[in-house]
Formats: sequence, C-alpha cells, structure tokens
Amino acid sequence: MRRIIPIAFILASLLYLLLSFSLEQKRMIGDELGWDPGPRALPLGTGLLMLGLSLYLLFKEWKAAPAAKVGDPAILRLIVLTLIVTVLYIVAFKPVGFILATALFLFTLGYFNYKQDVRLAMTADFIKGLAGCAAFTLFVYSAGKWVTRFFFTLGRQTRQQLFTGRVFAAGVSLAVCVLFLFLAVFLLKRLRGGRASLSKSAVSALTATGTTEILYICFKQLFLVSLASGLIFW
Amino acid sequence: MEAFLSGLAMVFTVETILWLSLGEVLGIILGALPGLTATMGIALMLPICFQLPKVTGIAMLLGVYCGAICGASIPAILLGIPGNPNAIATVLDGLPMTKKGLAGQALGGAVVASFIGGIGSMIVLILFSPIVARFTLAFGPAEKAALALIGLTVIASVSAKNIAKGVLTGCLGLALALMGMDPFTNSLRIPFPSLLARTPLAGGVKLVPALIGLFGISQAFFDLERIKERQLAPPQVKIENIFPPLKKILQMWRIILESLGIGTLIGAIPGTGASIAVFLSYERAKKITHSPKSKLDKVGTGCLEGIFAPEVSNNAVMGGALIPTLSLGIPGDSGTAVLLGGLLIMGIVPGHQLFEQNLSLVYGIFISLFLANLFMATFQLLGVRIFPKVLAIPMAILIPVVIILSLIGAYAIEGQAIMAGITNMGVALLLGLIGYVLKKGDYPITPIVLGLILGGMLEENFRRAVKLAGGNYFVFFTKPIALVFILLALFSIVLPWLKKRSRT
Repeated sequence: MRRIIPIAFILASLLYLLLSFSLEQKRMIGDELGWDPGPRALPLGTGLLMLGLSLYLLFKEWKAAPAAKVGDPAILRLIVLTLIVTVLYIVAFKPVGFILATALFLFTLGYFNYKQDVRLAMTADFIKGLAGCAAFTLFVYSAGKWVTRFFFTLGRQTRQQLFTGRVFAAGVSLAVCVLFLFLAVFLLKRLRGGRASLSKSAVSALTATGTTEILYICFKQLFLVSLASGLIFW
Repeated sequence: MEAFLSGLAMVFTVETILWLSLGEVLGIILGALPGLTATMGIALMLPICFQLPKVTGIAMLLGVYCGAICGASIPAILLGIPGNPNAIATVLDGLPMTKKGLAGQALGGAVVASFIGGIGSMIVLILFSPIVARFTLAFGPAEKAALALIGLTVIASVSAKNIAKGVLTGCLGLALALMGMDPFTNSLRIPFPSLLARTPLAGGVKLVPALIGLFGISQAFFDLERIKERQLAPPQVKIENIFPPLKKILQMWRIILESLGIGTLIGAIPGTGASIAVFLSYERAKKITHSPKSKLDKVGTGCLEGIFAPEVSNNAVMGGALIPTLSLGIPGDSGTAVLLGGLLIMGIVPGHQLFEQNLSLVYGIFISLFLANLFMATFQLLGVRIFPKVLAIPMAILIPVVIILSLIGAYAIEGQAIMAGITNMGVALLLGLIGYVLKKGDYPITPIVLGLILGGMLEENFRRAVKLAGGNYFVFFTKPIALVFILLALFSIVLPWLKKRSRT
C-alpha cells in the first residue's frame, strides 16, 4: 500500500499533465494582448508539482522497509462485497428503482456485516431474508402510498388543504411505516416465543425497510426529489 | 438594528427551529458513536440543507456541528473511547470520574463546559469577524490568490505527519477543482472530451458528491475494517447529580478563561483543529491545578477541572474556526471546510461583501449559532440518560446506513435530473474509495477538500492578477499583502519540515 499510492499518484499526474498539454490555449474575452496565462497554466503547474511530490514520496517509501501486514481475509471479503454491491446499486438504481434497490442494498450489507464474513453456505438463509425484506418493504411502501392517496383524494373532495400538503403526506407515510415496523417486531417476537432479541437477519431486514422509507419520505415526499421508480410503477 | 431584527425573523420560524433541533439530536448521536465524525455528519446533511431556506440550512449544519463536538464526550467519559478526536483529552479525567461513580457529574460538566466554550467563542466571532472581513477590502486579485494559496498550504502542512503527503493531496484537490469548464474561455478541461462532453462530468467534479464521498463513504469503508472489534455497550452506571455546583464552576474561572482563549485562538488558525487545542488546554489546567497555591482538584485524578479544560476548548474551537471561514473564506478545520462548502453551494460567498451587503444573513448565522449552543446544552442535559444508549447501535447496521445516506445525498442535490444524480453517486463512490485508500496510507484528506473549495478562487484571481499586471507573473511579489501571504505560505511548509529535520 505504501508504495502503491505514490505510484498511483505518478500515473495520475502523468495523465493530468498529458491532459493539460492537450488543452487548447484560448484567450480570455477582452485579452487581445495575450496577458492571461490561459486555461493551461495552473493545471500544468499543479500536475508538475504532483509529479515531483509523488516521485519524492516513492523514493522515500522505497527506502523504508515495507510493512508486512496482511489483513483479515473475512474483512477483505466484506470490503470487496460492499464495493461490488455499491457499484451494482448505482447501476441498478434507475432500472430497479429507488425503493427496491435501496432495501435490497441495505439488507445485503447489514446481513453480511452481522455475520462478519461472506460464505457460500450463507446463501440460502440470505436469499430467504432478502425475499422477506423486499416483500415487507413493498408492503410498507404500498400501504403508505395508499393511505397518502386516500387522504389526498379526500382533501381534494372536501377542499381541505391540510390533507393535500406534502408535510401531511410525509407525516402520514412516517406514521404508517412506524406502525408496521412495530407490528413486525411484535409478530416476529411472538413467533420466536417471546424471546427478547430478534434474529440478525430480521434486524437487517427491518432496518433496511425503515431506512428506505425514511429516505423516501424525506427526499421524495418532503423535498420533491425525483427518485427513480423503476420496477415499481404504482 | 434593522438587520439584526431581520436576522432574528429568519431564525425564529417553526421550520428553522425544527430542523435545528433535528440537526442537534443527529449531531449528538453522531458524536457519541465512535468512528463517526462531526465532519462526516455535516457532509451527510449537506444535501438536506441544500433543499432548505439558507438560514434554516445553515442552522441545521451548525446544530449538527455543535451536537457532534459535545456528543463525543459521552463515550469518552463512560467508556474511555472518544467519539471523535475532539474528546481525546476528556477521556483522561472522564473515565476516572465514571469509575468513582461520578459519571452524571462528568457528563453534565462536559455539557456546561461545552456551552460556555461555544458561547464564549461565539462572542469573539461576533466581535472579530467583521473586523477581519473589513481587512479584505484592501485585497485585489493578487492578494486573494495568495490568500487561497495560504489556506491550502497551512492545512496541507498541519494536517499531515508528512508535509509532502499533505501538499500532494492538496494538489489532488486542486487538480480536481480545475477540471470542467474554464471560467474565462469556456474551453473544456476534461479527459476524453469527445466522450464526456455531453455527460454531467463536463461540468467538473461537483463539491457535494466529493465532500460526501471523502468524508462519508471513505469513513464507512474505514469502519468496516474494525467491524470485528468488540461491540460497544452502554455501561451500567448510575447517572445522577448531573449539574456541577455553581461554586465549583466559579472557582474554575481561570481554567475556563484560558481554555476559551486557547480554543478560540487555535480554531482561528486555519488547519490546526480541536485535537491540538484540547491537549494545550488540558496541560494548562494541569499546571494551574498542580501549583502549590491552588485549591482546585488536581487534573488527572478524575475531577471536573480535567473535564472543563478540554470541553470548553473544543467547543471554543468552533467559534474560532468560523472567524476565517466567514470573513476570509478560509476554513479553520475540516468541519468548517465542509461548512464552507455548504455556504458556497447555497450561494453565500464569505468575505467583506457578505458583511456589507447581507448583514441580516450574517446576524441570522450568529443567532443560529447561539441557538445551536443553547439547544446542544438543553438536549444533552435532558437526554443525559438516553444518549448513552446509542452506543448499543451495531456497526453492522450503521455502515450500510452511512453508505446509503452518502449515495442518496449525492443523488438528491440534482433534484429532478436522474442521470446527473446517478453520476454524482458514482463520483461520491470513486472519491470515497480514493479517500479510503489515502487514509490507509496515512495521507490526509482534508487538503483535497481545501483544494476543491479554494481551487476556483486561486485560479480566477491568479489569472486576473497576471492579466491586470500586463502578463507579469511577479506581480505577487510586488504587492506587500500578497507577498506577506506568500511568505506565510512558504513558512507554513518550511517550518514543520525544519522542525522535523532538527528533531532527527
């Protein structure tokens, strides 16, 4: 790692210098005499400084004894999984949609983080949890949407502006989400024979649903951000 | 007076009070969770503040900042693990107080001390920032370019053990800031222009996704490495008698005043940060209490004096750091660097013009800061028995939540543009990974942010100065103020290097 970073910096500075040299040296409007240093000056200077410093650091790191430190393979697997899942999330965001993609992303990472490892033997349990999480999230989302629409229609029919406002809609969705999360916790505990703690898979799923809904309420319902709907057309 | 009343009206709205309260609670929770920093909290809240009215957004960010600094004392006192570097010195007397059964008084003392530090430094901020801002009236393009340079070099040299690493990451930030469209000629400065010219990347690297990636995603990956370390749990201690006796506080007047002075001064020097201030204050308090004439309890033995010194100091750093941020546009530490990014995104340009043309907004910021301190004290005292419970939140859940907040935050600033939002997520992830790798290699990431923030100011004024001087590149050495700034910038790099050499 200690040597890789300066080498990466050297490559980046060389690329940056190449980009700077390839820039067209245009003149600023009103600069007939050509006194403006131009768009190339500062990038060139920065690139040269970066190159010099990274060469110096590489030289220093080369002289120092390399630190032989091998990380925990389970942690390494978790980091790689997090990276892959995050890239997949970004790629799938538009086609799959915010609600489903976010819930699945959160469940996947929460589940494996709890297990502190990534193993093939966990697949069956993971897929069961993933399906449960997706179903529960869709249910909570749909319930919230239905109640919000109901109040919206009621507001328009009765000309009650309170019911048609976005703050009210956000409040109603939040209440629906909290209600179903509490119900789910209650039922899951009953299913486990009244034991105090839920399974880690259930905690991951409930957290995924709750976080997804809160983000939806905050950004979509309160701030009117256009979150991709993807597969969920309703 | 009219501006003050207008500022007051901006702050005292239901919306502002609610968002400030939410920011405060979130800040305390973030501060209390080891691994999550105040800077990360502010970065994650930027997309939300972007959607709010200016003063409301700033008030919320200040709430997160205040709350996170004070909240860090909770695990420091109860578990001996600081929530973030601001509370490193609080551990030294906080944990022994908990062991003595005085956890309540230590937690309460930390809140009172933080409040005193916050309000004291706010008064200094109100008194000095307009004066410093007036000073910038004498600045032309050459001086402004030199000022940007000093902001970059000071942070780069102080934030890293190795100056070369700090300057290198500062250059990386600068290189990223210079990508996109040239502000004067509109020519594109991006790699593969034929490919990227029609993508959102043609506009260069946007500040919010970069900040979120560097402070949110990189921290999440960093914390992932420590997921196997033992899960923290709220300690089973009785929390009672939270209010420190007034007589005791009055007896500590010298410690309070000195810590306030140290915190504010250190905060006002760009790049220094709270971790230096808290140790300096702690050492001063140690000297005061260990003198033969002193009637105070000895710092280091588990007493309120050892809590007050660092806690007054770390909250005083905030007000101090806001002085150069608001008056010069040069942040005092990483937290104010992100805060400055937030101000710029909202179209607020710090400096003399802000104080001259938008005084009501300035008053709005000052009043918000006062309320942020007041709410911080109120919420933390009211929730002194509740907030320690957040220590039970497992990292397994927190890490994905931080990553998703970062990604959706980066996405949300684009509002209706889905593809631009998705590009922002990619930028945040890429910069998060770069930040993570750099952190692992002991490279500081704050200079990248400074490079990104100050890059535009540096280039614009550098080119304007050279053009106005008829193409003379030595114009910076002919103007006295610019020359002083350049010498200071050089000094900030050479001095630590010389010190290191003399030590070896």
